[in-house]
Amino acid sequence: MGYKEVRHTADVAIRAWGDSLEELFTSAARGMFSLIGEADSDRSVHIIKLSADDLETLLVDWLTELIYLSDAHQEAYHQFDVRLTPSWELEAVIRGGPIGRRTGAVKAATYHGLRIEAKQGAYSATIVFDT
Amino acid sequence: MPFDISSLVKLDEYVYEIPASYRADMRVPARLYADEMIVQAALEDRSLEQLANVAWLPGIVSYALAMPDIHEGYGFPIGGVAATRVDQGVVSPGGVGYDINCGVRLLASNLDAEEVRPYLARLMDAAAQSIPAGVGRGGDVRLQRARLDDALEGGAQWAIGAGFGRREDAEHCEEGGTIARARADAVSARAKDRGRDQLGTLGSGNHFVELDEVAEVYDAQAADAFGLRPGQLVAQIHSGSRGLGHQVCTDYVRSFQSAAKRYGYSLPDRELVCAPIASKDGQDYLAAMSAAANFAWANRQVMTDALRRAFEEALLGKLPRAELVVIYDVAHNVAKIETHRVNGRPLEVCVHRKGATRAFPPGHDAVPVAYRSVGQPVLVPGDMGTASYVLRGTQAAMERSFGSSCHGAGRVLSRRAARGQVDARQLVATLEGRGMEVRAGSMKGLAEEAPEAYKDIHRVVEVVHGAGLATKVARLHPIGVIKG
Repeated sequence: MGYKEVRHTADVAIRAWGDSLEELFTSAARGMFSLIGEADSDRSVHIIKLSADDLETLLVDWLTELIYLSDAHQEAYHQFDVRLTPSWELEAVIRGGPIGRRTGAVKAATYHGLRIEAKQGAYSATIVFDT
Repeated sequence: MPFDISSLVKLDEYVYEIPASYRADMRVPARLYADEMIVQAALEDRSLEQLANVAWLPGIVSYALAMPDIHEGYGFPIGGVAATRVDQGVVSPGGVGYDINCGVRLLASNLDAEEVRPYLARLMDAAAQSIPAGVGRGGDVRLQRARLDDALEGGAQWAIGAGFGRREDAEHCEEGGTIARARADAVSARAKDRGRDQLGTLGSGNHFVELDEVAEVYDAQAADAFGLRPGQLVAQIHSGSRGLGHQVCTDYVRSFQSAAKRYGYSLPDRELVCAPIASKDGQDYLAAMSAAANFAWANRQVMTDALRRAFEEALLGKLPRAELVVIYDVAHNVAKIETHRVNGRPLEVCVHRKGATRAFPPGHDAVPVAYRSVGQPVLVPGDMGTASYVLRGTQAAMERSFGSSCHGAGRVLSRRAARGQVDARQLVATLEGRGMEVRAGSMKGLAEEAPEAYKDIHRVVEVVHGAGLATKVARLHPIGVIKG
């Protein structure tokens, strides 16, 4: 499970991976918050429920939801307890708090070139963010 | 897969074409305005493949276009222009982008840069104090829901009515600072939530407030009409619709994913989702995008008012009373319904400009009366250490680029690469060594915006000037910059 920043001229792309879809979604969230900042507590808890027609849309919905919560509350999150169902429903409990150390801003997670790849039980995806 | 250069046909000195035969899904050819060096840079990333994708849009007419500040984006390349038929075509939120009506406002002062220089540090401090900058910074103007709705439908004109400026400010904005088709009810509660405390704030990334000196005038008649003269102190405000606009785009890109399936579109890239302009989906997006555009105009209007106050506070009793007059205000991420000649006949089209500027010619009704004899001012900010240009729109732009020109220098280095190569403290020292005052929200953000992260602005402007899309009026040199 992990993530790294990959080359993109205008914006930022993050490659995330994990041994399960839950791990992939968690890595993508961690990668995105590496661009936003770190919370200085875990006082804030949010419950997220989402559903989509396909996995890529669910991944963008998940990151979009986190961007909204982060922007509206000026918070960052570092703990992600994610559950996915085979019918592309997501339930998650996330923890974080006010941003202590700010790295930057993320305007949106895009669908540009997005494809979740499954290989030998591992999942990966590259997400381009508008920053 | 990198773009194959042999697929690119050179039509003349500054125009390259990707023929429609390049890919089966291209409905029209794609054209790039560039010189050889810009073409080489475009081949390094996915810009040209993205431009070919744009040529897929249902209802696109003539060609998909890219300006010389082209670089890789998501969906459209940055510098992309596409016109789609209003009766049979689509509108694509990805053709506008997340920062709806990111744009530039240019203000003329009655002062000379030289006479302000002794008070420059003081002036920059006052400006930085009055304009909140940086990520997530809220402003003093916290709007109740009803007033926010008024701002979304009223734009710059609403802000002026609320006490942030003068009536004539809006007359010198593209669209008069207000797109009439805006509807606040097409904007989600979430978007309004993200925008509520952001009016009058700069934001982060490439946004800035800059003080410049008019370094050279190329076109005396147009400069005179715009109110520009050599040595004059002018100011630029570059900002957009903040979190509100980002959320509007997010909302419609999401809802259009299912719309695209409903309309049976086989998308070359999901970020190019679109819906027929004539459909409820299309109309709702245009209403919401226009509302976000109005929010950005209101935002730049509130910042104009703050900058005027900063000038007054910093220079009171030291110099003649400072007057800041709006020369012009352009959107560079927007979709607008305009009439253009296509195959010799006037046609109503939706012009998407994604990192491109409108450049209307002399005599056009949409150009303010004061500039109608010379054409619309086209504002092209460069990087913070080099120069910016003021151009004017031309008839050639109407014939070749749906009345569009470039919007800036265009990036060559990613933000990450810029951070890796640039020492921000050294950059500040270099700029200060040239007599510039720099105020930055973050050193990291400053490094990402370093001059070496951008193309050569002079080269980009030479291409649009040489191709006749917009011609040079004046060059501005930065003397003070506030970065978000």
